[in-house]
Amino acid sequence: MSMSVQEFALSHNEPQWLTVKRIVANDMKNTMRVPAPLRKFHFESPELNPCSIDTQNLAPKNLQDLGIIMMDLFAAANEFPELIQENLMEKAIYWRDNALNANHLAYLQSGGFVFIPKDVCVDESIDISDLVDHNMQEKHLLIIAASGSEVSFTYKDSKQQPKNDRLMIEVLLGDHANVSFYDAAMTNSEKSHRVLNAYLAQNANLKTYVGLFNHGDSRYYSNIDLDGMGSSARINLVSLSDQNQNQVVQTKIINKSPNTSGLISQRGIVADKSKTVYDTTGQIKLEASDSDSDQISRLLTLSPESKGKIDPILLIDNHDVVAGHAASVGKVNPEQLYYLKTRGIDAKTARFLLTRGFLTPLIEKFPDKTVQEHLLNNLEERIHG
Amino acid sequence: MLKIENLHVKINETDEEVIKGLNLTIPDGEVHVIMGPNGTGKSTLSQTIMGSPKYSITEGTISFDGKELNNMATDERARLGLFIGMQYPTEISGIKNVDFIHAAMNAVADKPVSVLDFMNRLDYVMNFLDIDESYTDRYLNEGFSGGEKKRNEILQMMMIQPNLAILDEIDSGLDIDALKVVSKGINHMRDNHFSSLIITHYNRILRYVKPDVVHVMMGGRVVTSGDYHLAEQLEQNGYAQLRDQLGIDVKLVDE
Repeated sequence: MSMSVQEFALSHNEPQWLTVKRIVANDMKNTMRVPAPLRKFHFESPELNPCSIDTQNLAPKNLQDLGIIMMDLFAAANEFPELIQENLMEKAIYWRDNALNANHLAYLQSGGFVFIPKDVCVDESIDISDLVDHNMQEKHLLIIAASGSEVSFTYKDSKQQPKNDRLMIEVLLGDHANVSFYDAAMTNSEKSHRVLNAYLAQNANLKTYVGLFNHGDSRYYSNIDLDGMGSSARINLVSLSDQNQNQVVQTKIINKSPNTSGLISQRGIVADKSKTVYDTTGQIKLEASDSDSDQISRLLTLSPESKGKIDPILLIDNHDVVAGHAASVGKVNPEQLYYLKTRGIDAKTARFLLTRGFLTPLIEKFPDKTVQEHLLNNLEERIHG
Repeated sequence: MLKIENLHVKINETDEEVIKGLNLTIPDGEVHVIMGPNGTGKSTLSQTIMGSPKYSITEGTISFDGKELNNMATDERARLGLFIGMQYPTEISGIKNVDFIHAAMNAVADKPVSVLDFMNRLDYVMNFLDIDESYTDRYLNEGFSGGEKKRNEILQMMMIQPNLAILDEIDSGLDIDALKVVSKGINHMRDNHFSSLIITHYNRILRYVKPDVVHVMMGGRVVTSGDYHLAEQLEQNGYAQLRDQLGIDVKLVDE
């Protein structure tokens, strides 16, 4: 039996400030806008059922020893209100932005919280996949990397997914923090809406690596806020769509302060009757002198019925900057295909090699070798079959 | 043996007939050279033998080892033992040279070539052709100089070991050192089961690779054939004089 937001909050002993915030969001959501590309992703509110939560620090022993916290978000809200109250859906993802965000906060079913203390460095990538219950519709991850910390995170979807899937990830970087985030977005959900937003303080450095290889319709939104002077962000995204899939990837880096740097690199394969849209924005605010903003987006369409579209946008308010964009949508190059065939490679294999080769230069930038293989194997399964 | 009879070929894009009744036979074990002025259809001929989709055969036949090639796919021709060293090898980002050559050898071989056998052979051939180690992990021809690309074609030929290698202006844009290396590769391949069709403008490669037969192409046909001395004669007197001697009515592009 479904519960009200308030009953649900009580069932896992949520702090009152959070329950009040949820109720306000629930009351206000109907007055908020629904962005046009997200209309189909304004899901029905999920059924809320009582849940018990683990209040322990779930970080592996060696990470706990460094002071790292990995916890259920609701438990963390009780234990670390000073870290969560002012950050949860207030900085990197703002709950008042639209009706979907407000409803997400009100009906948030499962969440994870990660805190990396000041100056802590971890070599191996931290897997944060199990901090959320993958079966739930509304999921959230809040990650705070304190000043001077150096870490990388991996998030992988599990095979079980709800019909409608939403995951919102917020990454907050303190001064001089250095964070890499790998997201293997491979859900089987019919509809999947994912947000990966970040807020960077002074001289912070973020690199995201996204493999958008999901199966259903999807919206992947990433908004990086270069608020601190000297901060920099690199978004690296590869995507694959096939059958009747419909993908919209919206990435945006905003340079707000001097000496900031943003680079978006995206490459995607569009097969069968699918459609992929890259909507890419680099914005340099007036205050952000000596900054740069660059974007390179390429889509490869494999059939006459597959559609690829790129909207590259640069919004520049300061003239003392370097900015550029490159975009292309194209088919397999017939000259290259012929060259491979002259060496005895059959047409099907040649097409596959060229398709894989199209993504390879970007996949090879992904730091983790197993991640690279994971992506390439997945591509081979779906394209070479 | 390659046998071409009364071949007529048009360029698909312009519908222009470029090869007009060409006959040519290359027995196993022989190296033949085709020389000829610009725009006479030499490259069209080599691409047509390999089955480029840019050209169509309107009349005549091409056969290799008794099998007609006219309607055979390019990759099938390659698996039959044909190879083309391109005038302008294509650059392909994202495919490493080493992976490409291994895939090509596997495609042509009866059974897969083991990684160990492959690497040993690659080592040997790269050493033979004086190719730098870093080459293997680079993307196929990407950022290669003209000379490096041509060397890469010869490397592929030596790895794949075809029965017939068509080498389309393999010597153009090469300095003397690179020309010697390329020639060394071709000579290394020569035996009873290997034949080659070398297309060139100049006879300088013929100083290093001695041809069995030299053919001259004009106006889309082979107009005369001879031995090495024919090339020397051409070098001295030029194409226009030969044309006039033979009484052929064609206009040379560069006239």
